[in-house]
Amino acid sequence: MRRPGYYSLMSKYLYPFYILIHPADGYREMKVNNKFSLGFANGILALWVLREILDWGYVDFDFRTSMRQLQGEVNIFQILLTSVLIFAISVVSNWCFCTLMDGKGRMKEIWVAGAYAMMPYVALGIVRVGLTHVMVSGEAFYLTYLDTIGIVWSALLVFIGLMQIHDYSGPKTLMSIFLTLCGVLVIAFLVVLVSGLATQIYSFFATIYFELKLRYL
Amino acid sequence: MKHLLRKRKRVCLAAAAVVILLLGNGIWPVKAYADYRYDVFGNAIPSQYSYVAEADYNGLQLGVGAFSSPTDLYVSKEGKIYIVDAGNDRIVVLNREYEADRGIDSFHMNGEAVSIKGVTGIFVHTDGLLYLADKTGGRILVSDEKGEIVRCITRPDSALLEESSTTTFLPRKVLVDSRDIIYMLSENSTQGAYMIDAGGSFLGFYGRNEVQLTFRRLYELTLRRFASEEQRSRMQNFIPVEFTNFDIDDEGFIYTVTAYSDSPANDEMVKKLNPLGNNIYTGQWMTWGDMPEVTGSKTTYNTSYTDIAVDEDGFAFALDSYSGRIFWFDNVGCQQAIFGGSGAYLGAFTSPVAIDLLDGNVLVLDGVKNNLTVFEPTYFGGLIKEAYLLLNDGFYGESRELFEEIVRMDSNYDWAYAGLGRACYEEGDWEMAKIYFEKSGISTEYYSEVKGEMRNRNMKEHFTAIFFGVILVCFVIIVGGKLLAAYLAERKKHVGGREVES
Repeated sequence: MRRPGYYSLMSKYLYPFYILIHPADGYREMKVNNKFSLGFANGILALWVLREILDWGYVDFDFRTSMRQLQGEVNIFQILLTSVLIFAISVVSNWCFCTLMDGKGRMKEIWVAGAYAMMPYVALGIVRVGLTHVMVSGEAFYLTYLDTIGIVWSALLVFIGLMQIHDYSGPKTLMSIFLTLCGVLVIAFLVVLVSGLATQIYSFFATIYFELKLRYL
Repeated sequence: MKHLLRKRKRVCLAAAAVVILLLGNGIWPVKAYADYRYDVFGNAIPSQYSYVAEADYNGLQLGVGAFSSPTDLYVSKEGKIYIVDAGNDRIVVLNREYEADRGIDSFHMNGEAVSIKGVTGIFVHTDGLLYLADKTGGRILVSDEKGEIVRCITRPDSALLEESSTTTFLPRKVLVDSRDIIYMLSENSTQGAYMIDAGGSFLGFYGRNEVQLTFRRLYELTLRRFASEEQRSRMQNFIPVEFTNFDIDDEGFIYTVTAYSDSPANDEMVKKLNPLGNNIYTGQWMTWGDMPEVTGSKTTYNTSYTDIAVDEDGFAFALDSYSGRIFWFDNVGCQQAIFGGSGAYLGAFTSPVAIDLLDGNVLVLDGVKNNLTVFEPTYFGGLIKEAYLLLNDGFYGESRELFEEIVRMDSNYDWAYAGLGRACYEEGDWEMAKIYFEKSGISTEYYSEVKGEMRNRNMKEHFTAIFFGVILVCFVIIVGGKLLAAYLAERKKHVGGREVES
């Protein structure tokens, strides 16, 4: 083990790459020494959106398996909804629950830790899309490996990251992740409810306005 | 001046002639129904007409008296059309020009008259003998051309048959292969076709459908494990669906159709069986019947095949009695076109019972309209067949031209793009092949193959560049990494010093 503070001298832009291979150490130091960059984290999220776009519309023909890939019309809103928006909701949900469960993490830390954890998934996803243009369908299993590695690596990073940020034990982290997922569902439900109500209220006032306008104006 | 006037007059006349020609029925086939086919997503896509009904003939037109519930149709190798006119107890024979030939009005066995009112299937062997499947009589009659029954095959005695659950022998359809083995489809027999040799002994069952495992059946199977004996006897049995009809091609492959399927997109409603009885129509993206539900339209379609006919090139035509449509499959089982329809007009059917082919035309017998409809290939339909045949015979350049013409006429034709891609691929025009395979939306395997070939070619051509490129990249990474490490070490010392100060 290196002495504490050794990597705190590393540039904060190189630091996420250190976290990739030493997540426990890395996240701990990130928290202790305030060693994070919000800009870098947001950059990763932007790349995540790019990855989803590439995966939808730019996979080569013989690797298109899902219906949406075959139809080929990229829907940016749907991509934002399934990547960055879900991420944001998860962060909020996680922060809510962990504050109640004696978690030490702040919202900003959870955001950055989560974004860093997505790096393998995003990077390998982009590499995979590039490789579909080179490889043939007989070699598809390499790409499946690549995909799986990305997902497993990112999942591990999320787990270790949350554990270190909140100063939790393993089982408690699992519990908090489970609660976070429940929270995401609740928030999604609320969002749908509120947006539905808002539409109704809007249409109510709009009706009154048009009624008056047609009668008196 | 006079000359000019005359010229103008001539031009006017020519224009009028063109207009008349265009308005007349002779130019375009007048049809009340639309041809279509299914695309990758299972949507029905309108297509160009590939076969159009040119004429229909009833018994009166042919001068033999009206048909009465005809049950089957067979075209022999010599081009004679045999129609089983069961209601009138006779067999009508037509020649190539659709004129009545000398038919068979009565049948005799050992001097006694035999009724063929129960005959539902006919096959004419190369030696001129007629094989008649007599369902009500429970026998197969073999007759010569004069109506003398030379053989009568009843239920063979066989240990195999005793053991099996099949107790009835109700021949519905019959055919004979080049080894004189009789294949017979019996009513209610789910075990496949009976094989009976020339001596009349039973050889075994040939081919059969299998029960597809679906979630509902899995659920019922699980339920069955916990059910009592009495409950079990009341539950549905899982028995395969029987073949409705079959046909044999020149190479001895037997094509079968099945009337019912849960999912026509996946099940093998149309099969090509090799001599072992295995289906060799296998592949991606194959549609066997009408989709049960067209998305959004809330209409359901059933497909209920009654007959199939195969031409000498392996193109199969399956007849659907539910909608009166004919499904055209190419020689590897890809659905090329769907034509025909249900109705009273020319080219539509009320109750189609049998289909066969003569000189490239499709003949369909209707058991209620009591007539024979003749479909002729259009220019487009002829192009499709020609293009495939050229492709299979290795004339890639010629086939490519035809496929180009086809996609010019019908740009939604997925299989034509696939064929065009194959022609380009074999010709060596890989760039175009790749584009066409992608455009077809179905040829992923071929697309991969072309991509692999192109990759290999590029590797060979640019080997030196790639080789030195890789070395250069490795060099840059190693040196760059070292420089970066040095820079970081320097920076650490520097920044570290400042941190100590603060």
